[in-house]
Amino acid sequence: MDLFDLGGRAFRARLRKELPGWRVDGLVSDAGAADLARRYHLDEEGVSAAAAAIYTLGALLIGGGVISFVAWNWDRLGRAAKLSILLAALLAAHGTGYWMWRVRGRLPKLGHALTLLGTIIFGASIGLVAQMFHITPTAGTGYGLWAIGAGVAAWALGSVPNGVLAAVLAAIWGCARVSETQSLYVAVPYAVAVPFLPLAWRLRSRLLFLATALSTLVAMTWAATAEAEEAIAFAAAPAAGAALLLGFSCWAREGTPAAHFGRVSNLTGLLVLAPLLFLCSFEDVAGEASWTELSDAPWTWSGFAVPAVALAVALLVGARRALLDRPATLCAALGVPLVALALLPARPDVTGALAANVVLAAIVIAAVTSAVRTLERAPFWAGSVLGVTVILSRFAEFDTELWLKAIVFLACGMSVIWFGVVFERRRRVAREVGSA
Amino acid sequence: MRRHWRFAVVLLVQAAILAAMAGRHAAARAWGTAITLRTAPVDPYDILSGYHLVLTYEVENAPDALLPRGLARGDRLWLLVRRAEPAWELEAVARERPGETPDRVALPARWDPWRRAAIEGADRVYIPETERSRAEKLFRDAGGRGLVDLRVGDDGTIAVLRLRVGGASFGD
Repeated sequence: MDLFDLGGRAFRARLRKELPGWRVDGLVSDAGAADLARRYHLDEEGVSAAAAAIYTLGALLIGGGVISFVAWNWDRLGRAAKLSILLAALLAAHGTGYWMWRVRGRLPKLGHALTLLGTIIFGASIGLVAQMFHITPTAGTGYGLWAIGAGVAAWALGSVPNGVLAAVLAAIWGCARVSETQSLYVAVPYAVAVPFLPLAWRLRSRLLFLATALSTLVAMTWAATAEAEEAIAFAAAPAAGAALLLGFSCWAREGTPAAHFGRVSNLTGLLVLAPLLFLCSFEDVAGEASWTELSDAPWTWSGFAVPAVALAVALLVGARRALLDRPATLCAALGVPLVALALLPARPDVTGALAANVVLAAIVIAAVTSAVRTLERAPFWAGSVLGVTVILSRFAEFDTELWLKAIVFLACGMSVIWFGVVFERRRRVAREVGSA
Repeated sequence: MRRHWRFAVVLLVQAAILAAMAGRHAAARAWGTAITLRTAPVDPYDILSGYHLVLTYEVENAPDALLPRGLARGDRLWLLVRRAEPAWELEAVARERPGETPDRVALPARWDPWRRAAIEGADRVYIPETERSRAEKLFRDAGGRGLVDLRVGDDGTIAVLRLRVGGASFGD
């Protein structure tokens, strides 16, 4: 199992379907079936996730309608009437939702979605109050207040959708706050992460973990860039956060509660690092991202970047055995500090771009070879796409003869098709051997 | 009822936030000192709160002679305005809140290199979308100038009451 593996849902659905038959046929004992069910969390409601998504989408759309209705600024109603309507709608949505979800319990997912609608109506009410009293929403205050209301709903009701909304709103607040006040550079990422990561842990929600991680990474990037106003800050801040995610994923051993978040942490870390390395693989970008550009810039943003890197190193060192089983993660963990070091010289040095290309190549090779070994489809294709993208980018970056470009394009295309066919054939053979 | 306390907390917190937002401005509207400032508005569109006009005020453009030294972006300022007709006029700019009288009121502001002494919390007025075209025409005809009626609370909270331009009133 490696970086690109989202896996799980389809396998669990199949296993849930097959397991009763295996028990009847005597292929697994009752105890073995129970162990499998526990190990793969077969009691979790994965199938009804689609219904929950539809209800949530419906709540978001209705909420959008309410916000547009408010923004329409209808003038025939007085201030008190407008506010009364929205407060009544807020109460109705929360009340009905809570009754369906927690009191009666017959339509829990619809009820849950209605509580999300209640929080969206709360956000619309913030807009209306600002409208009624001509209040200027300074430094993202409106989004901050909305995030508090959504966060309280998430914690009090144990609601993942409210938590996701709150995490996203907190990031928007943080970015606006930093931009407008030119302060709180260090505090904002912590303000986004600290309230919601424990909630993700408590609710065992990968979705909330992902939303919080991405919101925090956005806040880190925004804060560092707003303060330093240099390309290296734009790259270093999210790289520090991504390194922490990778470290956590390696530290979260199978069988521990943390392992529940291992895959999503791993995937998010790589999906952030890969584009950053890709950007640094361009000579011009790497030149702009030299550390020397930061010499006179403020460094308070290191207040979140340095602890993230230190914690990442500690986690990776603590999990060094797990790293050996994850070659792509190992390449990323070793490669990012290498690229950071290579970005030390001032322009027009090419060391940074060279290092980024080497590290990307190592990640691609590690992902593809490990996929060939484990026959997992996602790392194979993700690694292949990344590798081809890097190769084609180099040819787009440098002025070469057209015949050479033609050969490389043809070679890349044929290689992808050839290796893809071979890989899929190996998978099929392995499946047939397994079923026989 | 005890087991539903979490639901009550959600409602209470969300309602309290709305009440706190409205409360300060409602108090300033009810009991604050009424003043009028001359403005020159522009018109962006805010996706959250509908159509509004961004207001800038003549008194924000304080002459250098009145400004404290060594101002940096975001520094707190107080604009002391005195009663005049049709709009109140700037008398002094200070870092500390100056003493006030019925004819002299202090307005909180922040130093901004572009807007200079930007008054806090009074830079937009919402108007109904149905009046948008009419408002735009009146502003054009008035050369982009108007008067804004405000109330200033004891704590410095500013409540925008209305914008007057070309004999019409918006935002009441």
